Amino acid sequence: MYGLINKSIKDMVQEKYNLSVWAEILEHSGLETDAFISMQKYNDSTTFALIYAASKVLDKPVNDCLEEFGHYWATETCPKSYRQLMDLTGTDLITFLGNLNVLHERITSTFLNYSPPFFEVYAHSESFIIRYVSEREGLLHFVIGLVYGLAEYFSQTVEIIDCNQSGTSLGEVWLIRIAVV
Amino acid sequence: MDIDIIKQISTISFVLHENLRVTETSDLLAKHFPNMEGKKLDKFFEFQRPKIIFLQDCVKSVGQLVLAISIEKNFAFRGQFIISSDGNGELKFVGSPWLSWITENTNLSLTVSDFSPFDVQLEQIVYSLTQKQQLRDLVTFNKELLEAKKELEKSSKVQSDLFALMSHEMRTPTASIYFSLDLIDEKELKAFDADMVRIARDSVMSLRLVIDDVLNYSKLKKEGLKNEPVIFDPRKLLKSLENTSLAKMKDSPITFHYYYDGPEKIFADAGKIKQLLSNLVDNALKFTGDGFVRVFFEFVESKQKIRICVEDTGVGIPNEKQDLIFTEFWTTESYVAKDLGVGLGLPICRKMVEVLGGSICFESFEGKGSCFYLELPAMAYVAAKKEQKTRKRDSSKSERLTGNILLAEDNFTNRYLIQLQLSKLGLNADTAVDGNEAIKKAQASKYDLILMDISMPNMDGILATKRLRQMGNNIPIIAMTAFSDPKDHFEFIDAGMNQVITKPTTISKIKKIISQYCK
Repeated sequence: MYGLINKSIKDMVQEKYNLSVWAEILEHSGLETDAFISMQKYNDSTTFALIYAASKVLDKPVNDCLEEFGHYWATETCPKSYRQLMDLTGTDLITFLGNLNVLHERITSTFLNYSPPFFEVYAHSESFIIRYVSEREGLLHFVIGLVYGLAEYFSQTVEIIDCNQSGTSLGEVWLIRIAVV
Repeated sequence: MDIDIIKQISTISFVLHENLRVTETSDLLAKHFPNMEGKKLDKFFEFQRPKIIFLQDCVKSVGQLVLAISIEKNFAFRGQFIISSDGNGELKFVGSPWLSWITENTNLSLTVSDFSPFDVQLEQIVYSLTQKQQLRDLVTFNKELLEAKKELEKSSKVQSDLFALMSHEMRTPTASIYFSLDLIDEKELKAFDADMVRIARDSVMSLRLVIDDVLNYSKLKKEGLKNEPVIFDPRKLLKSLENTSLAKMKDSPITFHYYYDGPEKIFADAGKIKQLLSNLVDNALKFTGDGFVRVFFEFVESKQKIRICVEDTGVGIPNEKQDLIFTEFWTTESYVAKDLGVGLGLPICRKMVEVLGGSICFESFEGKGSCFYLELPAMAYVAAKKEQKTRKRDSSKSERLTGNILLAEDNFTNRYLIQLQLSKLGLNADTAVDGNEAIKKAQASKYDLILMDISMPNMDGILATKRLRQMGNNIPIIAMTAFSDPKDHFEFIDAGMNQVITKPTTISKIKKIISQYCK
């Protein structure tokens, strides 16, 4: 993953907790440095090491940490650094999720070897189904946090009705059923 | 190209006819300008690049980038005109919203789908935003590095201060141990006991050299150094160096010689030159088992420089270690040297040479010896008037002295030991515990000499000396101090003191100095 993800985890911990908590997480992660450069590519293991260390230090389940990070990513990191892109992608949750692939395609042509997830949104009676496909495993709760965070960013309220795994041939595939209030 | 095909690949497109009339507008254009169809283009847009007034201008611009801004300044597009190959003469426009202008000048909400896949404007935005973020990252890192640097400097300063304080505190007890050992008459001891006393004394002397190095180094780190030239006699400096060296090599088979070629007096930083020579000669003595240590000191009139060479016949420096010798805290192993010190002597030398604007280099051959060369700026000094010569008394012939000494010293142990040394020399010693008492006693009684400690409570030795001189008291005052920095010594002389003895000292050194004032 690119450095901006790791940097965002660092920013979140330092902002929501404090510098010494981050120092403890860094120590537990076994990483030698926390000087992450946004456009530099890092091994996925770096990001996972930080998440697992955060779970240990904050004494929270890994999924809760991922959700917290997804929420922070959508409400803090992106609006601060990439607001212009967010505005181009959509002005409400469903449009945004529907256009997310287009944005990811553009990013892929700029960030070489970038492997973004794939999103599709279907209207399903009163609710919507997000089909989330990722090469990476274990990031469903990051996406859940992201959905909650995006709804907050667009001043909407969202309810996650259920999440069902739907095969693993392309990596991890989830069907996330949501209701936008 | 068919306009329907163009609409599939381009979000802003239209057909331009004579008189700049527009038809077949794309969906995005029609969405923002619903009344444009069939009207003249210049009613809605003006061209920033190139300037277009007539259709012919558009024809000329084929293949060029076209930038257009709406008359109402709420939309802009970019792209190019193409001419149909079907021969109907229609001009078609292929393009997209001009994203950077729109974002900069309007609140218009565009979405990613308003840009064709081949249009790289979105990628440019991704890139530009990420570059901005990258720049912010680097600014943050720079700030963090600066803060870390400040923290490191702060902790380094605390460490240096602690070193300096500890070294300074260690000097007084070290001096006391040395005085005590020096007072023991080895002739009255059994051979074994005498050996033990000698070993203990030599060890304390070595410890003192280490403490001096650490003190000088801490001072250098804390205050930095300045070039402080004075007029001095290099012969006297070399003689003093010889005396110190001979004392250090007491039972050693090596010989020490110095050679001087130059004017009677020169203008240069005597304090640092003395310390440079002292460090280099100390090293030479440490690493030389037998043979000689020689110092060549020459003033080169044509270059206004002094050249110094310190040569020894010692163990030499192995080739692979030669790059390391000026590294702080680096020491080597040697079967000759008993005490290697802490590895600060040569780094201090190099720093001092830099400050003096000179150069230092060396050549060394393992097993044969080393030669250190110094070149330092200096000027010859020609005295304007004849200097007064101080009268010296030769007391070397008499074993015991007579006279009354006032010893101002706050430390009880030092006071006791120096008193013992003085009485051993046949002198009467009265004591004072601070500068105030020293002044009272010096004004009330007649003494031949005052031995004045520098650091004392209530009133220090420097102020006490200044007061006595202001009162017209011309009694000889010798500073006894743990301060080894030559710069401090000049301060004592300026205050009115006649000479300086650095603690710990030897009974013979005290005798030699006092004998100039007491018979």
